[in-house]
Amino acid sequence: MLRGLWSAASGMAAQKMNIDVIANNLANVNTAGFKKSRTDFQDLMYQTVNQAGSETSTGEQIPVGIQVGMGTMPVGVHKEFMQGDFQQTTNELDLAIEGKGFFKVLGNEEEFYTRSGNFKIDANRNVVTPNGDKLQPEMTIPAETVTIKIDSDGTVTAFDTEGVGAALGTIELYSFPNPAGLFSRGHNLYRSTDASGEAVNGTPGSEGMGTVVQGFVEMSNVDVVKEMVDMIMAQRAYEINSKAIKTADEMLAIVNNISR
Amino acid sequence: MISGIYNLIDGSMTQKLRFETIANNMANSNTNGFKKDIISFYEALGMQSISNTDFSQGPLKYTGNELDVALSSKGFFKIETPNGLRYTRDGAFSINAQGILVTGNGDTVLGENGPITVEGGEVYIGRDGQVVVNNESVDKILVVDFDEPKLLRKEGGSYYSYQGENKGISAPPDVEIQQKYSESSNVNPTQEMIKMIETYRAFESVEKAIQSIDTLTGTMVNDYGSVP
Repeated sequence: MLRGLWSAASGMAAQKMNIDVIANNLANVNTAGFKKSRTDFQDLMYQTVNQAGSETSTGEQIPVGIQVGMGTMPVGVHKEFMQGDFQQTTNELDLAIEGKGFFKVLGNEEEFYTRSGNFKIDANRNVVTPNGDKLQPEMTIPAETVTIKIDSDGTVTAFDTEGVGAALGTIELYSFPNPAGLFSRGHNLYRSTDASGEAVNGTPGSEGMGTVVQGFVEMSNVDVVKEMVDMIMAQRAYEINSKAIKTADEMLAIVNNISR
Repeated sequence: MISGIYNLIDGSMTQKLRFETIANNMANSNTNGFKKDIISFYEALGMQSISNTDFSQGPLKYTGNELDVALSSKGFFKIETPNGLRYTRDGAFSINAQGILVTGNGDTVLGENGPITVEGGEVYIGRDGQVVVNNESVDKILVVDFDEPKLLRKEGGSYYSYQGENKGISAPPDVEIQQKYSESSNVNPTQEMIKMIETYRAFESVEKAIQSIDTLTGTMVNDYGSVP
């Protein structure tokens, strides 16, 4: 049968995945700390129909052989950890990281990492994510606190009604050799994997970590215009592959009609 | 019996091959660094068909990712795989857990001093391939070119293997590397579409010709052969 039929089918399957990823990016255009994903493709194996250098019936050498490709496949969907834009908020526990670090949180007894710094205070006065996962190392805000000040190096100071400051500790950041290898768990959380490497601990401001900015959240790094253009590209690529399938179908119909 | 029919079958096989190549090009219209194949006829070999890879430059696309590099000159990146050395134009690299620059398949990208470690911090890749991490020069990405590119064989996974001798490999004089860009496929969908229609019609007329020969032969055998 026609190999082209399968090549075209692989192209359609690949573009479908491309659309899935783009749709998820677009859906998260307003998710704080969201990092967009990208699908990369590669060509599949090639079948050698005619070996280069082999001899023809007339005794001449073929200078170039014939290799027919088998289509395409997605090789990876990887997160792009480019900095998102900052948005100013009025919440003093909103933190944005300017740099490559991550916050560490504890959810369900498991350690996760996140870029989304829109922290809250729970009933026990712990600093938590909107899902209730505790920031690591844990931090408790005293009851009499009026304002909280967080410096760019992560030092947290709580001021009471008298205006007396008390140091609460330091917010720590973590970085990875290969952040693209992190496992996305959903809820803005990532888990370290063998591919990402071990988390490296550091304070904000130290090398490779970045600094924290109080009163800001990092917005999604999805660029709507770029996603739209990618979507058009993916849709058209899907379309031409479907045309190839249609043509293959018609060619096979012709073959079936040779003998009446 | 009638030799013409075998020539026609040959023709229809060629059109089938052309179609399959076009379908593969179309499937890879979004594959980074992909180079299209063209089936053509080689006159000296009695119209034998051959496939050529068109190594023309693909359009560069801005990605903003600091580990994406694109070649805007001739040449290939040199990759170390478990199966030996391979070459690619797909510069969508990443870092593995050991901090080494790798391809999307996880194979090591070679620099002038072997594997390139880019652990931690800002990565800057110069136009000549110089890799600078935290203002410190680490290595230079190796770019090679071939005297006879037709000796490159596509391996899948955006890799090429080289079938010739090592003396045919050289360092091209002017390497141009663009960081934060990736080279898109050089497949032109319009062109492929037209080629596909052309192939389809050629295939159709070959089959029509086979049918006519069949009808003619039928007439000859059944009508002329019958004794009135």
